[in-house]
Order: sequence, then C-alpha cells, then structure tokens
Amino acid sequence: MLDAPTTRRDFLKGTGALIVSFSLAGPLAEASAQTVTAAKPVALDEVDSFLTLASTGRVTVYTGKVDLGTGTRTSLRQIVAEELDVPLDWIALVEGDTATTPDQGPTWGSLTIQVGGVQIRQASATARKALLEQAAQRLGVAPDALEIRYGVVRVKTDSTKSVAYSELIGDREFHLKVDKTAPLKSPGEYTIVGTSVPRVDIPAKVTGEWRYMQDVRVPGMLHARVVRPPAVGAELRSVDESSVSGIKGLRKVVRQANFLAVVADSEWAAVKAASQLTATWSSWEGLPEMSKLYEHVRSTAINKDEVTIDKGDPKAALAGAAKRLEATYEFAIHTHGSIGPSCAIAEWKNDQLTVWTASQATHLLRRDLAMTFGVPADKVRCLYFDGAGCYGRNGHEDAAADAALLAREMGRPVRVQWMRHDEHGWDPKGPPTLVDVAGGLDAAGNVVAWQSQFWIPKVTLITEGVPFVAATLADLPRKPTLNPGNVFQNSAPSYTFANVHAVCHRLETTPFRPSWIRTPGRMQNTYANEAFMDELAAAAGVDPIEFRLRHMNDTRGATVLKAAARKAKWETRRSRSSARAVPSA
Amino acid sequence: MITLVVNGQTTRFDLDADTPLLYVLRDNLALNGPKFGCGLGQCGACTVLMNGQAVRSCSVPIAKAAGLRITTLEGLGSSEKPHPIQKAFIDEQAAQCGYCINGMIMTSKALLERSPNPSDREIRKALAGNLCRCGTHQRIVAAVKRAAVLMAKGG
Repeated sequence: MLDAPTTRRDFLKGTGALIVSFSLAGPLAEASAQTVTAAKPVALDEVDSFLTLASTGRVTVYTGKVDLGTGTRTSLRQIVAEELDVPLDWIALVEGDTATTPDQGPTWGSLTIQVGGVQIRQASATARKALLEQAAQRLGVAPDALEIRYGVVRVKTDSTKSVAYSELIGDREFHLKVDKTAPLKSPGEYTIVGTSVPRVDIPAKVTGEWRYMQDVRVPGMLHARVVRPPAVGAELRSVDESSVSGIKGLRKVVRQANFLAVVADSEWAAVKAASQLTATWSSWEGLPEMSKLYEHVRSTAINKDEVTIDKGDPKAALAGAAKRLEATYEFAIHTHGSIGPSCAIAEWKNDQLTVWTASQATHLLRRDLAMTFGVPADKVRCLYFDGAGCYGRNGHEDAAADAALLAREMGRPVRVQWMRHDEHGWDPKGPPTLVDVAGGLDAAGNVVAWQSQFWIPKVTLITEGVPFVAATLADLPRKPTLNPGNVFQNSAPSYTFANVHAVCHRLETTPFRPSWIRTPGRMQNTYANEAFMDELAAAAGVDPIEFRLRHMNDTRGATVLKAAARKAKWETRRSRSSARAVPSA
Repeated sequence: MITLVVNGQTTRFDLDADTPLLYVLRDNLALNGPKFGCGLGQCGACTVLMNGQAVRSCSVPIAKAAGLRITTLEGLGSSEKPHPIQKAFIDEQAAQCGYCINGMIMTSKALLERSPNPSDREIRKALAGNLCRCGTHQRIVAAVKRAAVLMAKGG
C-alpha cells in the first residue's frame, strides 16, 4: 500500500545517522504501535522535516497537508520529483501524521499546492542545491558543470563522472535550514509538473486495496456506537441498561454527563445496542421552528456590524433611481453529508493517546484533543487515513474525541463509526444565511445604487477550532467557539458600482453548531449577489451577461465570463424577474 | 452456523442470523471493498453481487445470503490484475475520494452482465441509486462505457 505512515519506530538511530525503513506493506500493523520517542525534525524551516532520501534511492516526503480526494498526494509528489529530478515512482508520501510531518496548517482554502506545495518545493530546492554542492566537491568540478538525471548527479561533459543522491545523503539527515534563496527549477524546464499523470491512489481505490479510515483495524480494538440526545440540548436523565442486557458481545454502556455510548466486541452488537438502549432525556426545544427559521435569523442578537464595502452615497442614489428593486435571499443550513460517516480509532498507552483519523487538520486536532483530555500535545499523535470526500470541518474530529473518551474508559483501542443519523444529526453545519439586497437603476438601465445586508454568525479566530460534541456532552474542557469559517467572503459585490454599501450583521448565535463548509460565504453570498444582478438585468431589459460586462472593469473577470458564456452556448436573452419593484420616490 | 460463499471461498460463521452481510465481509473477512455509507440501503456504497445481482450488503442479513454466490470488489480483480471494469475506472481516473466507487463498479458489473453495450441513459438509470458526493458522475459514466468496450474485446 502507498502512503504508509512510518512510525517513530521506523527511525532507527545509527551512528549519528537517521535510518528510515520504508515499509510499504502492512502499515497498519506498524501504525498500531506508538513510541513517540525518536525525534524526526518537524519544524517548518528544516529540510529534514519535509524530506528523507534513502540509500535505496527512495525519497519520502512528509507533509502536514492531507489528500481529501482531490489528488494532491499525486501532485505533491510531482513537485518533489520535478525539483529533485527523480522519477515519480521513487517518491513515497506521508500525510498528516503529527509525529513525523511538519504542521503546514489544515487542509483548507485550496492551499495545499499554493502554500504547502511551495514549502515542499523550497525544501526540495534546498536539498538539490546541497546535493549539487556535495557532488561538485566529490567530483572536483564546479556545481554549474553538473546536471541531474534520475537522482544521479553527473558532469555535463563527461557522464561517466557521476554520483547518486543515495551515495551523497542516503539515510542521513541534511541538517539544513530551508533556504529561501535556493534556486528553483525554471518552469520552462519542467517535465513532470504541468503534465497530467495518473493518480497514485486510484488503482488501489477501485480494487478494495486502499485503506480508508473506515477500514483501519487496530489489534485488540472494540467497536463503539454513540447514542446522542434526541434534541440538541436535552440532558440525560436515566439509562436502563437492562434494555440491552441480552446483546451478545456488548461490553459496556458508557455514560459521562450527557455523553452516552455502547462498546462491544463487534460492530453489529454495538449497532443493536445503540438502537435498543432505553434512555430518558429531558425535553429541549431550543431550535427555531423550521418555517420561521429566517425570522429567527433576522431577529438574532447582533454581536457587531462589519461593513465590507462602502463607496459613494447609495442611500441618496437609491432614492433618486429611475427604478428600484429589493430582494431577500435565504440560504439553507448545510450538512457536510460525506458519503462515509465519520469514523476514528483511539488508543491510550501510558498516558499517550494515538488517534487514527480522517481529519482535514490533524495538527489542530492533536492540540484540541490534548486540551480536552488534559494531556500535553506531545503525548497525542494523530495519524491520517482518507475518509470519504471532505468539504470542511465535518464530523471526523468529533468521532476522534468520542473514540478518545471511550478508549480511555475501556483501556483498549476503540473504533467509533458514526451511523448515518449521527452524521446528519451531529456533524457541524454550514449556518443559515439571510441576505437583503436593494438596488437602483438609472434611466439608461445602469446600476446607480446597491445596498446589501447579510445576517451571518460571528466568528471566533478560525484556528481556535470547533468544540467537540463529546466535550460538550461529557462536559470536558473545550473552547466555547463559534466558528462558521469566513462566511463574510464575497459579501462585497465586485462590480463597478459608484454607490455601494454591504454590511454583515455578525450574529451572537446560530441554531446549530457551525463549521466551515465548502468555500464558506462565497457560495451563499455570491448566490445572493448574482441572483440580484439577474433581477436588475431583467428590470433593465438587458441580457444578463451583457449587463454584467457593463459593470466590470476587471479584464480577467470579463474574460472568464465571456469564456463561460461561450462554453455554455449562451443565448442572449432577458432575465425574468421575481424581485419586488419598489415604487419610485 | 451460517455458510457464506464469498469470492469463491466458503466460510462458516457462528454469528447472529440478523447480522448484516456488510459487517461480516468487512470485519470477519477483511474485505474492505464494500463500504458503510448509510446502513439503510440508500447510498449504494456497500453494493456486492449475490448470484450476479447487485444488492446492498448493509441490508442483507447473513441468513438470507447463506449459500449464495457472493462477489465483492476484491473478487473482480486487483491493482496488479484489474478486471476490465476496474481498468476502465483507472483509465478514466473515475474517482475523487473513491468511497462510492465500490458501489459504482459492482452495480456496473451487474448492468454489463445483462446489457453488454448499454447506452448512456441505461448507465445513468442503473447507477441512479448510487450516490457520489464528490461529483465524479461524468467520469463514472465514461468509465462504464469504456468497460463495455474492453469487455467486448474480451478484457
């Protein structure tokens, strides 16, 4: 299997050297042990944090970024193969293992290549430069007399004079800081980056050989299912354990404050016990009525107003407009709804916690688990395995906390697999968004005024994370954050309006525990802005593409819009309107 | 004791008769191809073949599967020696996260057995009950079409 997360155990200390054995088979057996003792560098400014070159020629890349199904485990390999001039299939990649990878930040915001990849590229360039210098010394020529092919440095004019990377560095550390000035290969010389190569994981994924998080098994592990309250804030009054006493293989009903779970020898015993367990809960009706959700949003207390654009005098311009329109847009609460419900395994050994997880942010998860379970962060190790497609902070972190709590209780590794209803009910949600827009046209059909208001939750510093369900239910230490992500994004329209004002009313609360999901704000706010542009175009009697182009001075944006229209075989037409026309003043 | 015949191997299990086939395949036989997605027979991620028919293994109690010919994704081929359908999915790079792909391939296998040269419409109809959250549908349909060609050529 590819992407074996090497364990600390793999780093065998030699005579001042660091020897890495690449176990490409049986990584799970390897991963089941944890001895976080040896110290592989993980600092962001060390070459050794990102790269090891083995005497076998194998290059291993360590990245804190994880592949969530977008193919970055292939493209990061391409970057390193290109910069080091080694074949793509010589490269192994370790993702998101907090013990061996540098913390390059969560895998969010489309930053894996543009930030994570750039860090890895610079580490590779530094390594390449050092290897060239060493080779130059060894071969008695100047570095610029050398070239590199397939991991072999050779004299340009005499290819018999050569030395391989493996001879220069094999199994040893570089002991080098990442050199920001180390020369990068010129894009004109690229032979690997920019080409379309097959993804390394697909053959295993279409044959059942790939290990997803849900497929990880740790020796001695038990199976758990959580039993969540029937309402968000309901409190557990009593549990009737006799209701599950006949279930073969059931080990324990675990209760801690409002946290309830069953642990069993087999998945089916846990599933049955969770569905049969009789518990009484207090009634709780803190959610707004579905039909009145947006009235609830509109009347929620405002923490502060944030103006995202303020130009000209839209109020006066609106009053003087030839035509005025208003519209309200409601964007529903969203579940992440991954096709594979969240799953995690946790194991405690000597006050040290190991968690197998599909989290998009293993380094953050490690810190939050340490806080909730009262251990130093260096006593927590998170190992990444793919989940089903991930679109933000979903339930995987919560499953990890469930598993950590239960594993501590049981003294054995525990696997928690959320059921579909756990996922839909308890993953953090994209919050409801409410948008009011008013706009005015002049007699020629140009936008003379734009005023918009967005009702969206306030946001704690995004790196402060989202509190675990288990921490809330079991009343364990947690930060009381509200973290819907950057939901203000794209609230300011990008058109060239002379008079424009947009304000985000940041709300104190939102009905469900929020989190960032798929390009937070941009989708919701752009939907409102663009839908209203269509309304204005309709009122102006102008084709909506033409109408937009009239209000753009951004060449790139205009090019994209024209290209999209061409590809969509756009037929020029007027939009139909559903906005409220406001009587002229 | 319940006897299951999976990918040509016969195994006897001393398990509750109502245990869903999916858990036995995954936990007792370590066959990770079939995936848990909903446990309700609604998403298709757990699809296996039972006597050639695509079924949702999360909703089939092992008692109902006893003695029948069960084929999982692993029973089709391996990355070393992929089945033509698996090869077609590799050639078309028809996966993002890949979690649903087991169901897509197994359902396509049943389709191609009964209709070796399906139209786009037939493919879409056959796969309509298999959910993909990433949005790989276009490539999946292309892969099934390619698989039909590969299979017609004899793999």
